[in-house]
Amino acid sequence: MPYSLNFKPRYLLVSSFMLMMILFNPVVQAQNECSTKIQDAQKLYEQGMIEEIPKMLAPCMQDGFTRTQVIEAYKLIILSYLFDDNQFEAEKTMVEFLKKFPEYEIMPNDPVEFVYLFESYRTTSIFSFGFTAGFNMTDPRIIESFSVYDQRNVSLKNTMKPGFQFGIGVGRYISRKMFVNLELKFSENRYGFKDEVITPLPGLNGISSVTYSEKLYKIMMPLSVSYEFSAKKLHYFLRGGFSVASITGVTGTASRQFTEEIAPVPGETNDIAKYRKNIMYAGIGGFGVRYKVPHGVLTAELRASIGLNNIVRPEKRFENMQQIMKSYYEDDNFSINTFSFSAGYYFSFYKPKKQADR
Amino acid sequence: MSRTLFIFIWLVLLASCDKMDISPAQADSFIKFYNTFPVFTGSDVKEIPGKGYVILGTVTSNTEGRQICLIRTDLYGNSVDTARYYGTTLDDEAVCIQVLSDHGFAILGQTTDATNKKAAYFLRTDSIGNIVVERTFSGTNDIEDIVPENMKVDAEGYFYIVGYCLCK
Repeated sequence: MPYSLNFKPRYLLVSSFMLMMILFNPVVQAQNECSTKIQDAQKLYEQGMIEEIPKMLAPCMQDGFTRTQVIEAYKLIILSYLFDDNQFEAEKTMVEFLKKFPEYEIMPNDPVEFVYLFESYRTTSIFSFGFTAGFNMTDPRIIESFSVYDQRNVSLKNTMKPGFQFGIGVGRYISRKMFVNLELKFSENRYGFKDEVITPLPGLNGISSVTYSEKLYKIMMPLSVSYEFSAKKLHYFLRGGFSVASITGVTGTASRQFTEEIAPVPGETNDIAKYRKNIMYAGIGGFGVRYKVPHGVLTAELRASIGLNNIVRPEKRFENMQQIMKSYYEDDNFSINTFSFSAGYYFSFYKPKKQADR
Repeated sequence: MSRTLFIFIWLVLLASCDKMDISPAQADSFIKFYNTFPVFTGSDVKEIPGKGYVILGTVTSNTEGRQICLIRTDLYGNSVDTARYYGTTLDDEAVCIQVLSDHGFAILGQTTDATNKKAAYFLRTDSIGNIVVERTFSGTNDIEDIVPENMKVDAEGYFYIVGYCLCK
């Protein structure tokens, strides 16, 4: 009678589980043994029997401990060396610890001796590289108003509209509390203008208006310095800097409404890049938070970017005759202020080093 | 910390303020549209030295036919007051305007009477457009219509109106 391979799924599951138990049993066993070693080492430390601690914990340092236990073990070993007046081994172990856990933050219950030694090392990243993305609201700031309507009677309104931005950046600490950032970002900014004027006619009195919406695309390079201050595990920072942007594209749509009772006449969307300057300068200020995670930091930031220069080419103002004649819209001299929220991740590269001033 | 944030927010708000001033450069070139009646036909424009411009045109109204319209502007083309309208209850049409030495205006137009005869219509106003003198020159005998075309003012303040007439 031929054999048939008719495995039932239940048997397959049970046998797989058993196989895994056999394979991973030594690791589990080692973890169980090692977990008690931390407590034993702690007891020895409290009793002042510090010489045995490094040897006792050494076998479990590679794969016997969980991440939290490894950290605890390093702390115990470092403290043991410190109390044993073995500064050389303590520092060597601290360097090893910082290489393995560069993002470690001092805890409130860490012994002062450990904290002192820890802070004598450069624990900030030497370099970080990451990406951020988010959304923005853009407020056009009128530098000088222009209108085909009577400027004594026209009412000018600006509209903030949502856009987005994303980009990459590099960062470097220049001191324990300050870091510089150079970023390269692409953004879409959207904003609008509305010119309203009252039509003073019997029977037809109403508000005649023109609404103009613009989409601006730019590649910007912000350079900023941030001051960091920590609260528990969070690192808050204030940022200040400067940004240069290359305007890569601009489109505009104007629609005109003769009176409120009549539906607006929608305009066409036109490429108006030639009526805008190529370069935009901005001052930046921001407030954010950084949270250290393994191998990097998560970052979230609210940023204000204040446009410094007029982005309209004054010499081209009257060249867009189609827009002026059809929609009654004439460009103001303006710059754009952007308020953005970005979140991202920065990979951090550490090189723990004893600081000269400690 | 809160003070720093307050200063930061204050600076951002300050930087967000719009500036609505008009620079003197805007007097060099501008394009303006004047919202009066839906149909406005421009006839003449003159500069008032150092003050601005005066624009003369004809508007079409639904109730009072066509009327002569006067708009005064500043150096930037912005109206200095509301537009003024002149003429009879029938159709009138603007022809030309002269700025006088006292900054008043001499306006030449054409009017139509009840029998549909056309006549020259002359106005002398003060500097803000109030009528000082109003005259209508219509044809007599076999002259059907008078069609005014231009007007000049000499140094002594005499007005010369030229045009042509159509006879029966």
